[in-house]
Amino acid sequence: MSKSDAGGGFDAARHLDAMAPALGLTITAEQRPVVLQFIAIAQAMSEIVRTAPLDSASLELAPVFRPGAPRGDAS
Amino acid sequence: MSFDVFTPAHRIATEIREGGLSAETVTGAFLARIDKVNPVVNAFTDVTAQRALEQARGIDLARAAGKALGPLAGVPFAAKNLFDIRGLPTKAGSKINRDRAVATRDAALVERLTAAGAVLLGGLNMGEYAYDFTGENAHDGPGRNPHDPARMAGGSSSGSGAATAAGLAPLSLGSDTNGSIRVPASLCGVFGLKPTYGRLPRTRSFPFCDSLDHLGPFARDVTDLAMAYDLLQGADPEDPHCAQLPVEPTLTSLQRGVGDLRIAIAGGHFSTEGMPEAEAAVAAVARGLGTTRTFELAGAGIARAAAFLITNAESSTFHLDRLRQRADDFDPETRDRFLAGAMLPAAWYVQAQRARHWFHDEMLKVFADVDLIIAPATPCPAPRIGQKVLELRGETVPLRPNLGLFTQPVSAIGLPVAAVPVFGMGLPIGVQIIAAPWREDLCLRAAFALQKAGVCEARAPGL
Repeated sequence: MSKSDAGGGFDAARHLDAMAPALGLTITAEQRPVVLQFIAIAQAMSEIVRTAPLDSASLELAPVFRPGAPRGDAS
Repeated sequence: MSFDVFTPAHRIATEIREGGLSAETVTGAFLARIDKVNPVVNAFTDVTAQRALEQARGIDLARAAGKALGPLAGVPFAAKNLFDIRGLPTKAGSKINRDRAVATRDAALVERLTAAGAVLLGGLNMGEYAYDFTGENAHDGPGRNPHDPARMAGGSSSGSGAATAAGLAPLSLGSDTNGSIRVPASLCGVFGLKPTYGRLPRTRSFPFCDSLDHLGPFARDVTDLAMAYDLLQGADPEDPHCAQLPVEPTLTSLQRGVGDLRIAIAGGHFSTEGMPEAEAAVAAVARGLGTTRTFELAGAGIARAAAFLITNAESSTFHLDRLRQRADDFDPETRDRFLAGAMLPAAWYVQAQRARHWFHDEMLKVFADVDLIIAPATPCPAPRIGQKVLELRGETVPLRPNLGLFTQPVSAIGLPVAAVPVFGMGLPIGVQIIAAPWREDLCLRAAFALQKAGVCEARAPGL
């Protein structure tokens, strides 16, 4: 992501209005201000994360995926 | 026969092995203590009394028959209710999960302690789906601090911290994604170990955030903590996240001291300026470990932000169907964060994973020159139940996210940490002893040295 892709233009309310129906989520009037507040916090966190001096040629995500490993019973 | 419920676990095991105590007497004493004290601290949500007494009687019969006993034979323990317990639905602090079928088998770590002879007393209270630092829970009521029941036990492993501190179980199991072992250990004044990410298997525990979930033990005594941790170790074929490492015992090196270790105090993000209790606790631990060296730990704020986003995105996606179908059945304090997290742009999440990797690499450079890092565990001792904001460095900030201010950057990259308790003038507060990946032994050596020097101890509450 380049530095110009996000930041000042982000509108939490517009984002919520687009995403909630796309995901099948119902956000009540009571929940809406708190959910907006948390989206705004997440956006602020994403701005902090964007300051990490990452190597633009590296994409090394951390999660573990081990092909062939047996899976447990989910019960 | 009188029995002191604050006796360390390793001494209980010795007394039972040598015939000074029966396992049934010990189990009965803890069940009676739970009856008396749990209504005050609300640590247990389920008490498995019949199972416990049957197992204890079996241990006594085995001893009478001259059979070898496990290293923790007759020592009671309890597990956060996100661990599967045979015969119970795995609540994970939620109302929704009560509709799940009962577990048909114990979680792997519960099985390992049971195989060592430890006696399970029941399941412990926690913040809903582990998304919590306070220990408050709309369904089961708040976990209460044994040192002042009007205050928080800390979360999300509230019952683990409170039960261990209150003498309801000398050992307990909890989970830590962003600080959920270290925060309640700090607020309740007990020892806790968050091992390296991938060290202990999570098999048959209810997940929160795959990239960051850790499991680990609580104890009031460092020898007990090391004993339990050693018995919990080892790969599990059913858990692909668990590192394929042999057991690396820590008990044997526990008393080696810290004279040969390079120890430094974390500054920058971990500064305790304006936090008098945390500042005093860090200073006491630094003195106890013989260091005055401080260094700027750069990038910790980025790691914390990355952990926030990874947690928010993974956990919310995991709960998406539950949010669609049963939003009203969530604890409102967690639901609205999950709803927000379900809508995060993928770019924020992927960037957070990349930043996490960057901070990990930066920290490995730090560990070329340092063996142990001292950092505060929480910004303050236990807040009052219901408290919503915190005074932090002259600013009023929301309490819930900021209780994990100091723990979140460390678990973000999976470093092992021992949380050690310091009792100042009043309530306890914890300090983190952080090591390089896979060096839990160093964390525990330092914790033992601090306990031996009387700097860190888990004092019995007046309950």
